[in-house]
Amino acid sequence: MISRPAETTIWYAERPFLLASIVFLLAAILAATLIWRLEEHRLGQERARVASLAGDHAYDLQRRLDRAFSATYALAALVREGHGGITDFDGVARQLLPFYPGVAALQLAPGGVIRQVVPLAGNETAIGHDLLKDTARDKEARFARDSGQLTLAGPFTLVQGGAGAVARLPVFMDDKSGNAAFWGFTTVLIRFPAMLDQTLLPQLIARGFGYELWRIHPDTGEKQVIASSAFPPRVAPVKHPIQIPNGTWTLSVAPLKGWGDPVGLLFKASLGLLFSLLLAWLARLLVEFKIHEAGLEEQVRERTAEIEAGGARLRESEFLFRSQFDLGNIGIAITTPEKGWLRANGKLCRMLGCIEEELLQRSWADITHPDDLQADLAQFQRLLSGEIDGYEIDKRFIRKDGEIVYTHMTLACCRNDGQLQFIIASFLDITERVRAEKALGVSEKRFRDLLDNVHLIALLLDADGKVTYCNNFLLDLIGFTGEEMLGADWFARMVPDSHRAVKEVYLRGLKSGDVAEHVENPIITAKGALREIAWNNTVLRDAAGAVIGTASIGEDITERKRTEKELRSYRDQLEVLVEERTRELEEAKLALMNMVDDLNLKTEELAGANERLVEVDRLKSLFIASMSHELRTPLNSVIGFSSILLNEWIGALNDEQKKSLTSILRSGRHLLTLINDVIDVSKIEAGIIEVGCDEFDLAELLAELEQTFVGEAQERGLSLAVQRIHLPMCTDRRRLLQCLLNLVSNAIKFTERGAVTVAVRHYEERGEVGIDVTDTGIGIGAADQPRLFQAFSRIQAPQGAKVQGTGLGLYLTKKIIVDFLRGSIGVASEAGNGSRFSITIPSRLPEGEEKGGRLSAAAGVKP
Amino acid sequence: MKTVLVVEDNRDNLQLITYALQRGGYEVIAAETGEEGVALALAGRPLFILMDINLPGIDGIETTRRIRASELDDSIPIIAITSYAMRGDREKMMAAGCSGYFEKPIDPLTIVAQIHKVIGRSQ
Repeated sequence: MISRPAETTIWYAERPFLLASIVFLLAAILAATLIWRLEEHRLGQERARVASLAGDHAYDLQRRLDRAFSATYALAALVREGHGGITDFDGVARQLLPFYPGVAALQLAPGGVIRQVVPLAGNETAIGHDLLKDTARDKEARFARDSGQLTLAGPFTLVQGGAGAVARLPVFMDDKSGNAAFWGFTTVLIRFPAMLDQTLLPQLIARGFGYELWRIHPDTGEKQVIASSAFPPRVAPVKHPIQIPNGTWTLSVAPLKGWGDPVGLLFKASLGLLFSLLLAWLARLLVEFKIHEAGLEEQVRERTAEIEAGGARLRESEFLFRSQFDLGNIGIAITTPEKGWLRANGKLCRMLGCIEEELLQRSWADITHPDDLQADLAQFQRLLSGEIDGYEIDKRFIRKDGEIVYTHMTLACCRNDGQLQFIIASFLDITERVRAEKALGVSEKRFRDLLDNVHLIALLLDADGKVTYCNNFLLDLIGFTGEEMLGADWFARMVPDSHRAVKEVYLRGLKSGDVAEHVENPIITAKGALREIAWNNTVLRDAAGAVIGTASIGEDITERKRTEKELRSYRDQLEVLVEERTRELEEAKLALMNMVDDLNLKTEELAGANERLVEVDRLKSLFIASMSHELRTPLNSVIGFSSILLNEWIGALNDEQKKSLTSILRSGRHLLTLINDVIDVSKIEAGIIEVGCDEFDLAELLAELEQTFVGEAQERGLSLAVQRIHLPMCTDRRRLLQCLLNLVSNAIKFTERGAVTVAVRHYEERGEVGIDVTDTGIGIGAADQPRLFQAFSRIQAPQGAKVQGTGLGLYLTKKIIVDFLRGSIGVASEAGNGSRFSITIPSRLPEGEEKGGRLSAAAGVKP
Repeated sequence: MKTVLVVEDNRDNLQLITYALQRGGYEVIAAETGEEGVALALAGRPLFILMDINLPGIDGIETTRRIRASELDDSIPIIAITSYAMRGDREKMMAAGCSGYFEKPIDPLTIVAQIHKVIGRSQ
């Protein structure tokens, strides 16, 4: 359905009152028009009636006047009969008068002069009045004489008084010659209003009409009222003409109350108004009805739209559900307690390695790992009993192919009136995660092994100084068990009372996150012995940066300190010796005053050496004091000074001393190698090692390699052959040298007799260089070879062969070769038959690999 | 006299170097801080200078700069000694005016030969 826009709503829907007003106005106009037409019609009818009435009266009046005037003819006939006079005029007139109602008097005027009047009473003054000579009123008389016709004069004021009109008929008589000669007039006098009293006009007044009889005066041209009712008609009177001799009179008639019909009009107007109001009310009702109807339609439309939208949402929701169900990455099954499986989606089927039909035929117990069944069933029973509405559990399923799949299962049930309808189970495949966790455990174990095998102390403390981890080396050293140490207050248990301040400094440092990196302090072992430890501390922080404790690597330097003490005593002895010798020389100098300058110089040098020995002693004290700042720096001094002494720069040594110094030097070098290796390992595993490109000649590098070991090989009676090939290289020289030193050092270490050879192969087409380090030593058994390149996996040397090593050398070498120099390393060996370690690296390090290009890979190894 | 200057705050190292240099026939003057090093370089007019980079106060690079900015002959070799050379450090040292550099540990038995290699003399 198309919903109609709201703008098209009819305007009157919003203004029903306006519409009602308009309807009222239209109806009122209509009614008014109708009433006006009706009134006009009524008025027309009324006027026609009045006109007819007026016509009747005018006719009546005219008839009476004509009759009155006709008396003149009778008189004229009598005059002509009497040949110029009527014998007994009075008598004749008196007989005539009753037949002519309305006639006031009959007159004879021979020659125009009134001679006889009947009745005379009241008319006396008219006798002798010469009609033709009366200037005021002779016009009609002359007209009558000249035209020979009956002429009416007046009405006017009569000579004898009163108002009246006179009809005059000229009379002509044949004279002797036969010509008609004017004789005079016969006249009839009509008096007004007396004459009218005998007409029907008074009845008009009784019937509610007013009337007026009038004429236009022939002389003045003005209206002359002849007679009228007491209230003459004023409003639009009906006029009717009356023909009289030589003129026209007019009778005007009009109703006294006027033409209007106020009562009727009022009635009609009321009716019209009522009609208009009724129509307006109806219109308004209609509009309201329409609006209501439109509202209903709108509601219907809205409801329809809502229902359609609801349907669409439902469809969408269903579509989404279906998508979720079929496409989602989560296995979903719908079951009921009675019917079992209803549906299982594709993901679940894939998870369980079967198609849906197969799955639906298998029972829950069939596919559940037996060890997880009990826990699941217990929860399921709670669900069935209505105790819970759902649960989550990690459980294993057995795939069709027998593989175990780890899932995180979420069950939710849908109840209707407490009745369990169906159950929705979703399964998240967490197999990968479980495996990753297991792998992580392995990795963690490896680093724990590392820490447990390293000949250094590893200790983790929490922020309160409680032990959270300590490695085997530490436990062996102090003679406590791991259980005893975990959670113990380190400072209370292990630090002697004389060093308790260490704890306060430590705890204060933890608060500010600023723990001294290098600290040296003694600890008490379970047996009460003191061991001097040099610590290297690192503050541990959580992800938010809050201090959670410290990690410390410690070195037992008790023995070293003791050795140094011994060294000092040796030196003291040396000093004594030197002094003695100096004395001897001075004695000799005294004896041999003339000896060559050479000898003097020698003596001077010896004197200087003496002073310097004192200086050395002072420096040694400082050296010991600052020893803990760095592990390497003091060790370098140990090595450096040992080698000076051993080379007898300071003075000659006996064999015993040389042997001791050789031991110190070897231990120092070994310790330095160990520290360097550990530092390198931590650098590699912290991902902060740097790799760069150096341009150099391979032959020069190999020469340095040979130079390094030539002495040692000779000492051990081994032949050392290093093949030198000139080849421009561009790779990290130091790292490559480190690896080769490592391999050759190992080869010499594990070879009792025979040869160590270094051979070089150049694969020009591949841009690679292969370097083989071959020995004729003890070799490596096939079983040991896989562990060869792992950290701290030292291979048991046969027959207790005493070989020093860190267990990190090959691990480091492989790391560097593979991760940083982008090459590969392999070994070919047989127990008892020597070994060959082969490395292959690009002669030019690929672009972008320098500057720690492998940092991320290296960082990933971190535990 | 073949006077050489060693600027090194670590006295052990200084002593080792001193032994080696004296054995090589040099007179050693030593400074423990950069400022002292600049002063001794001007006063002692050494044949060459061994400069530890990690010094308290102004470091070896800054000390080298100051020496190079002084009236002292720029042909006097200055050899830097570092305990750990990061990539880029070498360029910094060279830019400051060093002629070469050694990494610790210093081997007293070979250091004189190494110095000669750098400064191009074989005496």
